[in-house]
Amino acid sequence: MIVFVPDPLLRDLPLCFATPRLQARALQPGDGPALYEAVAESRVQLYPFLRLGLDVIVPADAETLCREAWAAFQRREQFRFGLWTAPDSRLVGLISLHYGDWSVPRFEVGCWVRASQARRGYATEAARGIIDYGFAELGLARLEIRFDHRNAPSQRIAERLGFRPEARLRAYHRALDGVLVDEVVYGLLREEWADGKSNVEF
Amino acid sequence: MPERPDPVLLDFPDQIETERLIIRAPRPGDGPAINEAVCASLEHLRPWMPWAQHAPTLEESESIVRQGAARWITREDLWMMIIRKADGLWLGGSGLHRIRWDVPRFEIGYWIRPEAEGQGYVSEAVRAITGFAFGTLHAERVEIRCEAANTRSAAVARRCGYTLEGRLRSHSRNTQGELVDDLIFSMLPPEWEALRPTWEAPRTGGPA
Repeated sequence: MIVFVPDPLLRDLPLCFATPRLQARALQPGDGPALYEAVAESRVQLYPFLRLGLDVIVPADAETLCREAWAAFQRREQFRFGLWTAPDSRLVGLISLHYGDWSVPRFEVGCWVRASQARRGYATEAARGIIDYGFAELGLARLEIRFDHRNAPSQRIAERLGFRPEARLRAYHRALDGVLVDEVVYGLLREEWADGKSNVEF
Repeated sequence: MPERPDPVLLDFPDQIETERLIIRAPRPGDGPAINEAVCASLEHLRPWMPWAQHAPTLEESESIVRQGAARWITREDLWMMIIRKADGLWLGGSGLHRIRWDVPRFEIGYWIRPEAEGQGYVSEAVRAITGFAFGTLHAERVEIRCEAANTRSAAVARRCGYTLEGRLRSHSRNTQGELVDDLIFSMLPPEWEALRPTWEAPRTGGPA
């Protein structure tokens, strides 16, 4: 028996959500210059843990990335949001749901915060927002966080958010520096998020 | 980072021979033989294999075989047929899937027709394909994934010396549409090097 999964293309979705300090807005045409500026500032930190495809070398790459992200959002293949601070409307980073499978449905959470805005809890705050979005708006059964085993900050975020460690896949990727790295997988199920939510403070 | 050759230009054999089996790439004309093996196995594959819900027609089988032969040539996917040497019976399918040539890593998949179960054919094929992946294709990792409820499949991975790396909860839907957990097993080159002599030693019989 094949289960009928409604066509995700027909699902109407909000293009924005808010967290206490951030406005998340689907990345769209015109966001390129702000994204380029944020990535250029952070090039050293991005390397070599990149999973968001932020290999933006010139401003045109950033605008292309934004338009492709906008198209992928329309196709319901990937949900990539820019994170903006409310008062001065500065782009502080990206949060996204990608590498998904609608037959489950599940998606992976990815996050990046620009170098000058790191260590302020923005990644965790934005992740909470997109987890809500994923379970409530997309109706997901599962979310996962995957990272290179050397990436301790991602692991801390996954644990803080209540994701559970599920697997360490040895020699799974060749990182940008050519080194073979393990991929760590954390998972969070819809019922766990609903259960734990009331106990978690921002 | 070192340059890697375009995988389409890699030369390697399209057939492996073991004590009892021929394991080889699909070829045009294989349609009727694979069709017979799939139709004989449908009932026991149906709970696990999304592609085994309905009996394929001869034309569908031939089409799938030709697509498989093309993907073998482009190195996108290495699907293999398992054929018993003694009588030429088509026992099932296996191969190397979800290929990442930049690592390189591969996933082994397998199925066997019901009357050939329990005779060690799957383990024989998995050991041979594991050796092909490490020895010929220079794999850095070979993995086996299965539904947690598929105990026979997991037993093959364990029997062949693969290590369980984790259990991804509610990661897939089974053919009934229910959420199920997936197990991931893997092997790395040093582990294969250590197992290799035991695999190649002649079988002496007696209780295991």
